[in-house]
Formats: sequence, C-alpha cells, structure tokens
Amino acid sequence: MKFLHVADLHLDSPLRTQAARDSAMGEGLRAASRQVLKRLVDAALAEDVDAVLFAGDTFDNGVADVASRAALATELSRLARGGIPAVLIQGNHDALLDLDRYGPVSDALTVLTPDAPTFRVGEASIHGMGFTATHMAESLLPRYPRPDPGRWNIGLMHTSLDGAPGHDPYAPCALADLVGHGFDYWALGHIHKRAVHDADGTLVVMPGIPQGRSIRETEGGSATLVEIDLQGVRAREVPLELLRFARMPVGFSGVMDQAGRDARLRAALEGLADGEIMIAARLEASGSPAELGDPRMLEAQAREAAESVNGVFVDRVRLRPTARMLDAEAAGDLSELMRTDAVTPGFRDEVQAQMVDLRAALPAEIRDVLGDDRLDELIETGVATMALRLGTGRTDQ
Amino acid sequence: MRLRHLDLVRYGRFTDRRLDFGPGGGEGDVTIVYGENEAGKSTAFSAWLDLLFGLPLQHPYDFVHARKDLLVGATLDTDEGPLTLRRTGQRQGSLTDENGRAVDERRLSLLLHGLDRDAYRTRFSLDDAVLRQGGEEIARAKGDLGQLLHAGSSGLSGFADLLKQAEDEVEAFHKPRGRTTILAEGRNRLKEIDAALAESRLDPRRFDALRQAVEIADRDCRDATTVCDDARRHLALREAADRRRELARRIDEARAALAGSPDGPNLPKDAMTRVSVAVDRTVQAQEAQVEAEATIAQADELLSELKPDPEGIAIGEMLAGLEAALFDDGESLVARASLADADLGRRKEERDNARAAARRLAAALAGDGAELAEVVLPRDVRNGIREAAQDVRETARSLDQAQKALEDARAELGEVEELPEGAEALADALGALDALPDDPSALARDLKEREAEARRRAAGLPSVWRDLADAGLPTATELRVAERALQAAEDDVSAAAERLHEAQEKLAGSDAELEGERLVASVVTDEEIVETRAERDRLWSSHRAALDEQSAEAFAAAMRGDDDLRDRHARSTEGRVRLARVQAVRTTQAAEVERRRADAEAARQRQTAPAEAAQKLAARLGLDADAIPSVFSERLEAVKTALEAALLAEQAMVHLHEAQKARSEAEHTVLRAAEGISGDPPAGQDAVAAARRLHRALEERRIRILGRQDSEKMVRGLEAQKKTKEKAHADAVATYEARVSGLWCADLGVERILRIGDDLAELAELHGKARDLDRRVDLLEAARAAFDGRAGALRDKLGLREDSPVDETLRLARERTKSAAETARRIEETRRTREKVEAERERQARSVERAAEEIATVFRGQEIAPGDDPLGALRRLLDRDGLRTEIAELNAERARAAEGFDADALSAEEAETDPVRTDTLREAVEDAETDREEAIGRRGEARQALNGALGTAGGVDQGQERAAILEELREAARRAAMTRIGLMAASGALRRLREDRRGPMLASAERAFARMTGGEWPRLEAQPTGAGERLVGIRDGQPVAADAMSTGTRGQLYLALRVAGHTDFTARYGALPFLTDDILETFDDTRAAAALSLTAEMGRTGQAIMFTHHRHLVDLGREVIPDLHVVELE
Repeated sequence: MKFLHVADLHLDSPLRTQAARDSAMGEGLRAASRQVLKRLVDAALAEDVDAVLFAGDTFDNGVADVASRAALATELSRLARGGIPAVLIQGNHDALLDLDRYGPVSDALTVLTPDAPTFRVGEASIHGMGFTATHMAESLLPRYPRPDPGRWNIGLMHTSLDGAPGHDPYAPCALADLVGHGFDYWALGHIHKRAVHDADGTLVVMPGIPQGRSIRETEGGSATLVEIDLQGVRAREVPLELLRFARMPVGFSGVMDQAGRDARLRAALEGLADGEIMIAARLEASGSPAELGDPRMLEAQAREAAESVNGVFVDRVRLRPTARMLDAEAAGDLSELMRTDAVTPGFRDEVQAQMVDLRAALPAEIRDVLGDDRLDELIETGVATMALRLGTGRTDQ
Repeated sequence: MRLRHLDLVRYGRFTDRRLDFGPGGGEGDVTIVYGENEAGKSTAFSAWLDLLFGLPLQHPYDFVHARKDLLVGATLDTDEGPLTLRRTGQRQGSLTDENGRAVDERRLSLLLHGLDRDAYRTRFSLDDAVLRQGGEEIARAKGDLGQLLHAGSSGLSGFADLLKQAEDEVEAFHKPRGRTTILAEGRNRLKEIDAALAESRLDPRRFDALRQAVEIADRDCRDATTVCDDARRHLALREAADRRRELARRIDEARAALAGSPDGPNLPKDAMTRVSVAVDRTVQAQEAQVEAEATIAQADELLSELKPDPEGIAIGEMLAGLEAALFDDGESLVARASLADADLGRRKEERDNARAAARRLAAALAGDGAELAEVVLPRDVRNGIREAAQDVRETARSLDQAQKALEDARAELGEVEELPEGAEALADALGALDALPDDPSALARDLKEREAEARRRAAGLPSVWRDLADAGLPTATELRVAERALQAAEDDVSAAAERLHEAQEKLAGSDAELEGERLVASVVTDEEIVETRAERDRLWSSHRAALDEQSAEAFAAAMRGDDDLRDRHARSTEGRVRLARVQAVRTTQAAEVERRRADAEAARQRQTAPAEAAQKLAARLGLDADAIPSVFSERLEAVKTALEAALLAEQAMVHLHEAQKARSEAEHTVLRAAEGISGDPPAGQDAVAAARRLHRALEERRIRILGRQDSEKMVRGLEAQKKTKEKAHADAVATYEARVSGLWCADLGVERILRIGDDLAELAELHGKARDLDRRVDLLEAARAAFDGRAGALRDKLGLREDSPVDETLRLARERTKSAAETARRIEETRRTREKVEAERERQARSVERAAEEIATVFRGQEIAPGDDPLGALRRLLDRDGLRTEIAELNAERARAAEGFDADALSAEEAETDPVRTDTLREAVEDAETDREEAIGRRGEARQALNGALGTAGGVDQGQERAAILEELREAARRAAMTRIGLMAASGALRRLREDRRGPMLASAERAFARMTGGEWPRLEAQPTGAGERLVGIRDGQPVAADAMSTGTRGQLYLALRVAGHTDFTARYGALPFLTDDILETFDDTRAAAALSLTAEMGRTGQAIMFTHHRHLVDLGREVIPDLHVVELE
C-alpha cells in the first residue's frame, strides 16, 4: 500500500522574503502554499496512493480565510475524483478551526478526533487525533487506540516529540514510546525540519514543512511517500517546494578585486541554482576586509550576479570579516578605536537610547529586529561593517 | 622595504631593461632617475605600481609587447633579506619568484602594510597633477584644521564624505516627521494593504454575510417573478379581448363589401396568371403579324432592283485558272511573272558590272591579254597552293633555328675536368661530424645550470641527505599513516586528559558541595549518634560505679548532649539524605576520576608506539627526533626534489662526456680523409675548417663536371633535330612545285603566291557572281513569256493590250470578278429572308386563336357581360374572391385569440370597455418586469460576490505582499540601525584619531614648510574659529589662512603635509619607497634646493626616488643630497 504523508502546510501563510517582490520571481510565488497543495495532489494521483495523510497545521490559524478552505476543498475534490481519501488531524495552529462550519469540506476528507480516532482503508488502519486546544502540554499517545491485529497500522500525530531547548512542548512524546506502541508507521507533524527514525521495524517520520517560509526554514520542502508491504515500511521524499531558502557561505580568501569577487559570487550562486525550484539565498560572505571590499558594493554585486543565474534571488548578504584591518591603514587605526569604544558600557547605553526612537517608528511586527536582546549583535556587526566601508570606500585620502 | 632593482623585462617599449637603485645605506637613500621626455620615466613608475598591485586589464603599455606577454620584476630589500619578484599579466597567480613559482599576494601586502594601489599611489608617490590637486584641496578645506592636517597624508580626509553618505542612508530610511523615507512609505503601503486585505480576505463573518445576501436576493427574485407573471396574465387576457373585438368589427366590414360583387364560383387559383398571359400573348401576336407584312414588301422591292453579271463570273473563272498555273520551277507563274516585270532590268546591269571588274583584276594578276577563265583558279586549287607555300616557308624558318641552336651549344662546351680519389670519403666524414646530435658547449651550459639547480635544491637539507636518499626514503603513504596515527594518539591523549580534567572538576565540585552540606545543614550522622550514645553509656557506667556528683554531672552532660544530638539527628533527616546523596555522587565521581586517570595513562602509553614510529621516520628524513609529522611531507618532497635535481645533473655530466668523445673521433676521421686527398694533413686549430674548405672546393668541381656532361648530351640532340628539319623542308618544296606545275602562276615563287592569295580569291568570287546573274536573267525572261502566252483571252475580255503589265491585268480581272460575285450573293439572301417571314406570319395568327380559347375557359360560369374587357372582369372577380377569403381568416383568428383563456373571463373582459384598462395593465407588467430584472441583477451580484470571493485567492496576495514588505523593512531597519551604530562609533573614533595625530603632524609639517620656503613661512599655527580651528601660516609675523595662500604656496604646503605624513607613517609602520615625478618643475632653484634637501631627509628614514627630465635638478641634487644615486634613462 502507498500513502502520501504531509504536515505543516500552513495554507496561505505568506513567505517572509523579499523575493516575493522580485519582478522575475514574484509571479511564480503567488499563493505558494496553494501551489504546493496542488503539487501534493498531483503527486498523490500520479503515485495512485491509497490515502493522503495531513499531520496537522494544514491551516495557519483557527480562523482561516474561507477562500483558503475553498482552495483545500478544490484540491480534495480532485482526490475524490481519483478515488483517494484524505485523512487529517488538526495541529496547534489550526486546533480551533471549525472544519465542519460549512458542511463537509470534501467527501474525500476524514478528520480524526478523540471520538473517532481510526480510519480504515484497504488493509490499513490509520489512527490519530488532533489538537483540541492551541497548546496541549500532555502526551496524546495514551489515548491512541491499540494496533488493529492483522492490519497495517499507521499513527497520525502532531507532536514536538522530546521538544527542543527554548521551545514549548506540544503534545510531547518520547520517540521510544512511539516505537513501542506497535504501529508500523508514525506520520508526524509540527517540527518543520525533516527527520526520519527507523527502529525495530517501525518507521517514524517528521516530514518537515513542505514549503519553507523564511530563512529559518531551510530543511523540508517535501512530502513523504510511504510504502508498506511484506518487505516492510519504506519512505522516500517527494519534492513539493517552489522556493527553497538557503544559507550560502561564500569565502573570498585570496580575492582582491571585483572581478574575483564576482567570480566567487557567481560560482556560489550557480552552485545553488536548481533547475526545478527557485532559491532565496542568504549569502554569508567571509574574508578579510580587503577581500570583502565595500559591503554595499558586495551586495550590489551579489544581486547583479543573481540576475544572470536563473531562479536564484539574493535575499540578504551577511558579512563575516575574518580579520581586522591591517595596521597601516588609517582605517585600521580607526576601526581599532571603534571596536575599543564599542565594547564600553557607555557606548552600549548610548546605542540603546538611540534605538528607542527608531524601534518605535517601526511596524509592531518587526520591532524585535531592534530588540535589546539583539543589541550586542547589532553593535558588533554595525561597527564591523562601518569599518569595512571606511577601509574600502574612501573617495580621496 | 626598499626597491633595489626594477626589471622591465617586457614592458612598454622596454625589453630586458634594469633600473638599479643601488644598495642604499650611506647618509641617505635617494635616487634621481633622469631621462628626457618620453624616455620612459612614467613607464617605469607604472611598472613599479603594476609589480606591487598587478596589471590592469586595459593596459596602456602593451603597444610593443602584448598584455599577456608583459613582465616586470623587482628585487626588494626586506627585513628578511632580498626578495625577487616577477609580475605577469595572468589573472591568477600573476606574482611569482624569479623561477616562476607562485608567490602569495599576502607576502607583498604585508610589506606594503595593507596599502592598496590607490592608497600607495596617493600617499607614497607624487606628480605635478597630484600636487596641484592637493593645493586645491587645501583651498576647498576652508581652513578646517583637521582636514588640512590629514589631507592626503594620513588617509583620514576621505572619511568625512563616507560618513556623510552613511548619515544620508540612515535618514533615507527614517527621520522624524519624514514623509518620503523608506520607512514612511513602507508604512503607508502597509496601511493600503491592510485596507485591501480587509476587503479581499474572506473570513467566516464576511462569508456568512455574502451567503445571506445571496439567499435574500434569491427570495426577492422569486417574489418579483410571481408578481410579474400575474401581471402578464391579466394583460394577456385583456389583449386577447381587445383583439377579438377588433376582429369582429373587421368581419362585418368585409361582408358589407362583398354584397355588390358578381355571382359565380371562385376563380381557379391560377386564373389571374392564365388570363393575363392570354391577353399579353394576343397583343404580341397581332403586332408580329403587322411587322411580317412590312418585311415581305421590302424584300420584293430589293429583288426587283438587283441584276446578275454572268461575264464577270466567266472572267473570275479565267483568273482562277491563271492564278493556279505554275512556272517551270514549280513556283506560281503569276508570282514569277510579276517578279520578272520588276527585276529584269536591274539584274542585267549587275551582271555586266561584275564581269567587267573580273576582267580588270585578271589583267592585273596575269598581264594584259590573259584569258579570264584561265586566270580564275578553283577554290581547292587555290587552297592547296597556299598550304604548300606556307609549309615551305615554315620548314625553312625551323631549319634556321636548329642550325643556330646547334652552333650556340657547341660554343658553350667548357674544359674537361676530373675528381681526385678520396673526395667521397671526405664528404662522408664531414656528414658524420655534422650529424652528431649534441653540442658539447650547450651540454656544458646545461650541466652548469643543473648543478646549480641541484645545489639550490639541496640548500637547507642536512649534509647527509644524499645518504638518506640512497638508503631509501619513506613513502608518502607511510608518512600519512604515521601522521594520522600520531595525531589520533595525541587526540586520544588530549581527549582523555580533558575527560580527566572534567572528572576532577566534578569531583572538586562535589567535595565543595559536601563540605557545604556539612557546614550549612549541621547534619548529625548515624555514627555521631552511636558515638554519643556510647559515651553516655560509658559515663552512666562510671557514675553507677562512682555515684558521686562529678560523675553525675558528667553523665548528665553526656545525656543532655546525647539528647540534643538525637534531637538534631531527628531534625536533620533531610540534610542527611542530601549529604548521603552528595557522598554517593562524590564516591561515583571519585571512581570516575580514577577511571579517567587510568584512561589517560593508557592513552599516553598508546601514544608511545606511533611517536617512536614518527621518530624513526624523522631519522630517515634527517629531521630531529622531536620534529612534528606535519613537516615530514615537506622534507620528503624537498629531499626527493633535491635527489631528482642531483640525478639530472649527473645525467647531464655523462651526456656531456659522451658528446665530447664522439665529436673528437669524428674530427679525426675528417682529417684523415683530407690528408688522403691533398697529401698533407691539415694542421692547427682550423684543421677541420680547412678540411671543410677542401670539401667545398671539390663539391664545386663535381658540379662543373656534371654540367659539361649535360651540355654534350644536348649538342647531340640538336644535331639530330637539324637533320630531321632539313628533310621536312625538301619535302615541302617538292609538294609546292607539284601543285603549281602547268598553271599560269608556276613561276611566280612562294612568297609572291602567298602575297596575292586574297586577289585570287576576289577574282574567283567576281567571276562566279557574273555567271550566277546570267542564269537569273534567263529565268525571268522565260517567266514573262509563259504568262503572256496564257493571259491572252483574259486581256481580250478586259479590253487590254497584249503587253499590258502583269499587275494591271491581274488587278482589273480581280475587281470584275468580285463585283459579279457580290450581286449574286445578295439576290440569294433576300429570297431566303422573304420565305422565313411568311412562315412567321402564319404562326402568329394561330397564337391569337389559342389565347381567345383560354380566356373563355377561365371565365366559364361567371356573371360577365359579352365583350367585356377580360382584364377588368378578372379584377372584379378576384376582389370578390379576396373578400370571401378574408372573412374566413378573420373568423379563424378570432377563435384562436380565445385559446388558453377561460371563456367566461374572456367574455367578461370583452364586455369591459374601459378605454384605459389595457394601458394600465401594460404599465403594471412593465413595472413588475423592471422589479424582477432588478432582483435578478441583485441576485447575480450577490452570487458573483460570493463566487468571486471563493474563487479568488482571498487575501493571499495582499498577505504575501505585506509579509514581503515587512521583510524589506526589517532588513532595511537592521541596516539603518547598524549604519547608525557604525556612524556613532566612527565619528567618535575619527575625532580621537585626529586629536592623537594632530600635534606631531603639525610640528612636522611646519618644519618642512619652513625649509621648503627658505624660511619665508617659518611657522604653522592652529587658530580657533568658533566651534573649530583653522590652519594659518605665519609670514612676516602675520597669520595667513591656508586657503588665502597663492596657488604655488598652497602646493608647497601640500608637499610639506605629505612629507610630514611620510615621516609619521615611517615612524609608525616602517619605510616604503616614496616616488615623485617632476614635481619641482615649477619651483625656483632656491625652493627646489630646499625641496631636494627635504627629500634627502626622507632618504635618511626611507627610500626616496625622484623622476625628472631637468638636468639642472640632477646637478642641484648632487650638491644638496649626500650619496645621491643617479640613474640615467636613454
């Protein structure tokens, strides 16, 4: 039997990238998550799977745009015409969503709940239950049914597993407990980074987000095609993403002119290019100040280089100077003084005061970018960047 | 760093040109490079910069050597010794050493203290243009002391523009109350998007509202449809009633009209057509009859006028016979006779002229009295004579040429010579000598280079390196294995030590925690309880034994102590548990420390074997036993390279010896061969050269001998050719004589015959023409006679004479024939026409009768008066029949108007005669339809709104744009914040830096300026100006602002600032070569001497190089600069 497993679709949640405003890429990224959903259904039909499994957070919130729901209904109707059922549980993001508010979304869709936790198709039993509140601190596993004897058993669960430092636990559950429950396959959701665990004949897969939405979501981009037969359980990725976020280190060691920088940038960007999907790249440029050159020029060069590499957009350029300015440069002296000054408490206080007005002027959603917790990083990077500019951008001396 | 040599290997117009700047040292390090204009000073200056920083892609000095071939080199004196470098035009690895090995750019960058091309150019080189710009900069600085002091010297002046630019960037993002900043515009756009988002987002409440609107619109639509249908029904009933009343009125009118119509049955359906056709046909037939009568009368009149011509017909027959007659040659007799009439006279004249010309030409060729027929020669005879004559002429000419060639060849035969014995042996020996492959001198040079290379490769290796190599070097794999093993062992030791350290730290922590528990918690242990209880029991025993006060108090004290301890024991249960746990942890950790210690020791022991293996490898490579494995590979490579170089040198030595021996033997063979020829062996150092000269002389003689042999062979060939040509000439003469034999021209000779060839041909042509014309005249005369013989009777009928011209006879006969034939044709045609018209007249009469019968048939049974006009009667009967039909149709329509309606209601409505009722009902329908259409429109709009909302992307696009704008603003805000922070740091640092450097710079610049101006400007001062300071020079005790100085003085001030900057830089970081290019051109001698003196001072702390094309500056320099080094460019 074959199943297509996806999680964390976050339907109609926007991409947090300037690439969406790029003239060349913007059109291709319109309603990206809907396009991904369509690709998912295309893949399900092409593979002729027995069911499509949605492991939570299909919607981004509990009051979804009805148009989003209509988009899901449209795609599920294609599944229905192909005779493929869809099985869904709700995650923490869409826990409060009333899916039945306007009647059944689709004849093909079955929503698993604590009251109706099992759906049977062919020789397989799919068990699961979604979130009923936006935050569930207890494990849901004890409430899951026991395996149906003589059938393939698949568990559908939205969980943060053992959790991660700094993140609240969501229906936490130990991997060993999942493996010990007796199911053949665990179709998980919640963590946006893909992970596969294979233990004692049980396959546990966290498929990751099928379309990353920001530079923080670089690992995912696919659904998981699961095959279960007498040879066991196998899983493989089915790419879905339109756009991949990527961090790309670019070393400029030994490069002293624009032509050399351009060559490195082009090589890096061409290395990123993927004929199938678009790339939003954050370039992390490392090198000595002389090798990096003027930061603005470097960024302009990077964007210029990306123009000639099909499908790659430079989202941001971050500088990682590996050495300080040489002593003989006046800029070297200057940068040394700047660094000395920058680490003093007085300077930090002055910066903090300066940032208040600027932060207040920003839209509330992005004020965190100038938050106090980021002050040290801003000071360090700001001073280093200015030192670079002073070292390379003078018009006369 | 100083420049020792600059090598212009291939650069500009230079090839292999070296500029030597001397060893330095002495009292100063100053070099003046002198050269005329265009001598290459700027080229050398550019080459120096290219060496340091690379060749630009577009190169101004590639006019002789292509850019890819440009090569510049230099030898630099550095703290680590001399460094020789080369710079090529390659994009990668363009910096090499003198052997072409790549040199890391960073090595040079370090020597330059990080200065790039522009920085070095502006800080360590000066030309006239920079000097002038510097002066202008001083003027632009408007007295800003900080800028002036650092203008062009410390590298700080350009920062102001940069910081201003950064400030502008920050303000471009955000400034208070700014409306066009990036942030303000972004926020505005976000507001717009939020509004649009609210419109386009389909949240459940909006969806419900849309859906409810659709339901309401549906209901309204249904209601309006019902109202509309009712109104339409009422209107339809009313309209049916109106219709029926109207139809009844029209039926009554039709019946009244029918009352006066004639009786009779209805006419047949085609009655109108049949009667109309019959009437038309009658009229047409009667008109045709009249026309036929007129035509017959005209024909009769014409026939009476036309008269037949039977004689003309007979003449026509005679003419036809004449025209059909043929002449003797098969052509038409008429045509021949006509031609004879026209040509006979002219042809006779032509014939007589041709014959007279032929006779004149024959007389000219053969003499007066010659018979024309004899003189004229046939074409074949003429051609045969001409060909034979030409053969005679050609064979005679060819025979003369052969005779001359034979005589020339015999005259060119030279003397007879022979080659001596041994010439071949000498040639072979020299060939063998020249074929030797190697030149010993080249091999010797190669050997020298290889030996030098071997020594260089071995430099730095221990003296026993060759023994080590011979004993066998370890392989690279061995080294890698050993290095990895040792590294792994070291990593193990390090990791084990780290783990031990961690375990010890944990143990120390537990000790501290244990101590703390003991101190803080006042924990009472079970052991202490046991001890105090034992002490109490012991004192009790003692007291029972003693029963005294002292023992009682001791017991009491012990009992209180025990009780107190037990009480504390009871209260410290929790502390005891904690203590026990800490102790347990400590025990575990102590065990772990021991385990980690044992692990560390084991790791150290495991390190021994790889360390020993590494030491053995170090010994095999001649390294110290404590050498680290990472240098093994380098040493192995060095030894292998040295060994390879040494083996190549040895191989070169063997090669040289072999070549020398082979050459000696070959030369000996050459000398012996030469001796065999000349008898005396060649002697001296030029013996081989003498042998070569002898060989060349013999070779020349061999060539002459071969040449004579070829000439003799050629003479023999020419003699044979001469004989052949003599025979051919004799044959040609015989043929000619045979062809002219017996003719009148037999004695004219070959050349005369060839000259009159064209006259003979013309004579033959004239003679032939005369004969041809004779024949044609005869034919024309015969044709005319034949015509006259046949045309006699015809001429009689026409009334002509017997000798009438042929054409006149024919013309008259043809005219008479044509006239007679035309008259006969018209008579026949008129008769046929008359017969046809008579037949048509009969046919029309029959047609009139049939039409009358048809009309009678149609009107049978109708009430019609006899003689009535058929068409008028027809119209009356048709009107009658039309009224009958209309009445029937109106009755049927009135019945149909009642269909679908209730009969009673319809009757009642017919009875209702209100005149405005219909209009009232129609208006009601229109109103209802309008209401219904509006309801349908509202329903469509509501459905469209709902479907549109469901079918579109909702707020997805706006949400996406919103997120993207926020990302842009986020990034821009971060950048602006960083820039603002950088600005804060840079502004403060710049202020401090300028303060730090201000004092020494001012003093140094003052000294230089005073010296350069010969004491005219003895001081420079900083004067406060409001918030800042300005630079002033003191002249004659009066302050003069820098920007108020003359252009020349400003230039000198700028130079002073640069000298001060150089002094400052050299003091801080060390010396770099300082180059000037003709900057003293505008200085007078006094100031130039002062500037040169300053240059000498710069030469004391570093290297100064001046390029100039002024000889007097060189002389001046020699006076004021000690140990001046001068380079002259040609």
